[in-house]
Amino acid sequence: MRSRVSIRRVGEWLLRVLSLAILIVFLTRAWTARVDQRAESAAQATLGQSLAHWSLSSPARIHVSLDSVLRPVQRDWLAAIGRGGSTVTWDAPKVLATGASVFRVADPAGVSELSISAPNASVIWIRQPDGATDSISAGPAGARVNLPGSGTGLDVTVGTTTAHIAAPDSVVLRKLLVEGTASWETKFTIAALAERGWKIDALTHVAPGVDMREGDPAAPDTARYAAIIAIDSTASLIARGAASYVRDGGGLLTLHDAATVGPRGRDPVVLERRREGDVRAFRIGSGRMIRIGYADLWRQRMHGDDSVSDPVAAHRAWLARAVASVAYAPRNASSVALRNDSIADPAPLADMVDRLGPRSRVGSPDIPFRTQVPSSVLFGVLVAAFLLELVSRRLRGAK
Amino acid sequence: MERDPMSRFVFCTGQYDSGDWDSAPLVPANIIDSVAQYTNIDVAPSGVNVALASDAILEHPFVFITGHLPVRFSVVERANIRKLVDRGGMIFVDDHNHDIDGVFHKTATEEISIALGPLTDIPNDHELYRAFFKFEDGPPTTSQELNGWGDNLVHKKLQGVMRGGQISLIYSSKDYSSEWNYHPESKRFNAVDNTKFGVNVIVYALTR
Repeated sequence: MRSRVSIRRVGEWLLRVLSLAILIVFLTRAWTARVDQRAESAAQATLGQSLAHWSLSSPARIHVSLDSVLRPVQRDWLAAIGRGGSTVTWDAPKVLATGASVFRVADPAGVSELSISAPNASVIWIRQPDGATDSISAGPAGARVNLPGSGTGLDVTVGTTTAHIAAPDSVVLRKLLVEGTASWETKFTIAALAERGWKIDALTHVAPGVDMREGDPAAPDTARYAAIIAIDSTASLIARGAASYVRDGGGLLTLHDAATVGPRGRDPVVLERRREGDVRAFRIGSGRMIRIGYADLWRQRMHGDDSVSDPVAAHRAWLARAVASVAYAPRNASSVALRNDSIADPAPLADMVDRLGPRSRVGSPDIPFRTQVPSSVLFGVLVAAFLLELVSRRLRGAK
Repeated sequence: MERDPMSRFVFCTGQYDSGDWDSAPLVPANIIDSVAQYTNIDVAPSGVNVALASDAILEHPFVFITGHLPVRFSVVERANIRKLVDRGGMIFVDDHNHDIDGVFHKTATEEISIALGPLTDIPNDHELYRAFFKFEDGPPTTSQELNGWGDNLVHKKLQGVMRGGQISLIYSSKDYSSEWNYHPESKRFNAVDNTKFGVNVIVYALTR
């Protein structure tokens, strides 16, 4: 059992440690107070004035509280101040992550596909330059919308975040090559794609040595054709050149009766499935191939489906989508040169994170050793601990 | 893999409620025989008769209509004819009377005008006459015309309804229904196969 003297010594030692700890806290507070004097913050409403002020005063720390994403020029300005030596932090609890992109679909009807990333179930507002506005609800994977027309700039708003998208590049659409025997499938495939606006070279086999030619059908070549379409196994012109054409970047579409035409694909992606078959997509070299497993697509057009009000348009749109999925459509070089991206801001929140770093917690940044205990209380504890330790030592006769 | 019979070209004769739609029952077999003989077209070995008032008519983008008696299409028949043509199908109507003063001609042309619009002459250099066999002088003359039956006229041109530069409906006063209405087996006794123009009609329907 320890003696009373040794217990008292342990107590005195603890009092000394406590006093030392309180002194360290006081020192830290003195240092952070000096830092706080050089820290500044602003809300979104006053940010314009603050940016001008900070550009001259260079505060050590800057914190910005935002209700919406900063405009690109403010983002740039704040990032420049940060690079000038200030530590910039920001918080924006109500801002939703939103991004959007638009590209031209390989479709002469002039369709653009708009892809939007947004939180599940959020409402997305799409505004076109002419003021036309529409809204959709985001799903778990965002939203995807086909827009008519060749594509213009768009504003996509989710909550308080607005993404500005520049008009997509135009693409070069070459001809299609269609080959098959004289049949309703051949006729209505050509008809539907021609109605859609595709220029078509068609080779229809009618009898031994008798072909019906539309346009100037030639061997598959990416410099000539955006896609080649084999209707059935008689498509010998396509069969001869399909493998190299697809490997070079071309697109091959094979209908139900042409399952043996073209290269053998691996690892297909099933794009669509119905009771009578499925639609499989393959990546082969630089090109793409789709094998349609549905027989007699022309029946969609002639007989239609009870759920479709205009079966001709539905058949045309379905085929056009399939062709667009494989078509080789390089960007138009002249449109790339003329493109104006200065207003584009497709992912504003991501851009802010890229320029200013990730958003921080709401409020001021953390400072080490900051406690909530008032300094007066701490000082009282310090004096008490010092006196208690002094009295204890004196009473036991130590110096 | 066994091919769905309906995926082939099926010669379809249109049934209408009024008149005698089945006045030339051997025409389909004869034309099917010629199509199979001369072309690679995958043709069903026998034709079908489908009511114009039935939705099933839309499964047949080529429909043959003939008869002697007055034709009055019902509202549904008229609507289906319009749908068939609007969706890209083709109809071949032949006057089995070979008589432009006959009741079939008068009523059928009137019904066609109501359903699809007015008939116009098909020029004799139209691609219909070059679709497979070449007919330099336009539609081939029938023995009924040469024998002086019916209206005692040799009709120099066929008529048609055009849509977007294509023939949607062919109207014939030449009585091909009589000309082709014999058993295919008998074709071997002909010096010249008189069904060749029928092949052109089918090839045109399938390729234009």
